[in-house]
Amino acid sequence: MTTPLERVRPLARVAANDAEYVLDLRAGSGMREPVVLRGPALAIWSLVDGTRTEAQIVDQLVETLGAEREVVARDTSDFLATLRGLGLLAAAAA
Amino acid sequence: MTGGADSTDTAAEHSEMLPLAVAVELATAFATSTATNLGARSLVIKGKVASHYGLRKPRVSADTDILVEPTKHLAVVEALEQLGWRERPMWQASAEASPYSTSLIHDAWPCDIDVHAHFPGFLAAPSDTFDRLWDDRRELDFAGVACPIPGQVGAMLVAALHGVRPSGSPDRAASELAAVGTAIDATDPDTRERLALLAEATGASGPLAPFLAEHGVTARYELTPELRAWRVLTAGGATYTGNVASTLVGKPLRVKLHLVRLAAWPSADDVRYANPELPDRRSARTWVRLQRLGRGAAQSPKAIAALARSRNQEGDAPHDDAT
Repeated sequence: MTTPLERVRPLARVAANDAEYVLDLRAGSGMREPVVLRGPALAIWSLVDGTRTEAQIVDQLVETLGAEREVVARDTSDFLATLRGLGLLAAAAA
Repeated sequence: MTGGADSTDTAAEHSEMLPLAVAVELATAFATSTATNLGARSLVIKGKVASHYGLRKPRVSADTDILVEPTKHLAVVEALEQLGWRERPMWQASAEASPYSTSLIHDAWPCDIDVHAHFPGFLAAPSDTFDRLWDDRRELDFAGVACPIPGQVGAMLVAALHGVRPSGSPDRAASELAAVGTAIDATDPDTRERLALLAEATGASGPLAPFLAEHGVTARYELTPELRAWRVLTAGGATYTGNVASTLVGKPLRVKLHLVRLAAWPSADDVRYANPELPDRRSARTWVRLQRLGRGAAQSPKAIAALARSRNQEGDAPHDDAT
């Protein structure tokens, strides 16, 4: 929770149709097709920039969306786990 | 999240069909990275690269093309195959006739990745051609990744060779070739000199001689067997028969007969590959073969005439320049 979250590199990313299409280009990543992120998933992903911790991302989302902190924190945690499962978060953050 | 506990709000999906324009950007970065991860040099060619240099109007391509250093071509294809890509089925004779390019497809991707070990019309040794194009490389962004591309004059040669080669859409080819000509006309003398030198070094000066001369670029070339084969190909028109005919130039009789037999009467597997909707019956396959044979016979006179012209040119003296 206290370590800034960071994306793996290199990534291929294309923004289109209110979504972001993301593909892990690292050797051995095994990703065969891009992940499609939109809506709240894209909002969280956009805040994973190597400077914010998970708590700070939640703070930002609560402020932006005006939603309950408990709900935002749970959904953010779940989605970050998904990103870890996909191998899209850097090892230090995982 | 905005609605409360709806977990699908933060889903990361894999299953959505990719828009073609997105897929081509991602596939280009993906193919380039796959090559780089293997230590293979590669250059993105055609498509967005041509648009970047003003050699064609921007439009969404149906595939991405990368030119890989020839000795690593197979390794790159195999690496992509390990990631779920597979070779686009094609007629066996056609595959044997076009050994320098592999078209890969993937069920989850709407675009092809064409991996070239060589680009038709560059008649110098493939490794030499690649090295010359690589030496003048630039970078262009694909999906946020800086990918190597040929320099301006290299891209001009690729686009021009693509334009002069028979294709399925003669009007588009003519239009694209005209755009390349316009771009050349707009260059300064130094650029034209670099264009001529690169054309000579890569063996593109022969195939492009009339086109380059038309645009004030003089490049030397010799009438080699490869140039004769190229002329047969381009004279044969945008037909399968023309493609096969061009591969016969300079081949031993045994190989010629093998290719002609495959082209005339393809195997059952080849017929299935090219016609996946066809009922799996011998009569259906025979009907396809007979139709194919009919088309080939109709196209043959042009191809045979081109072959004959090629043989008549064998005794010609080398040409010192394009004019």
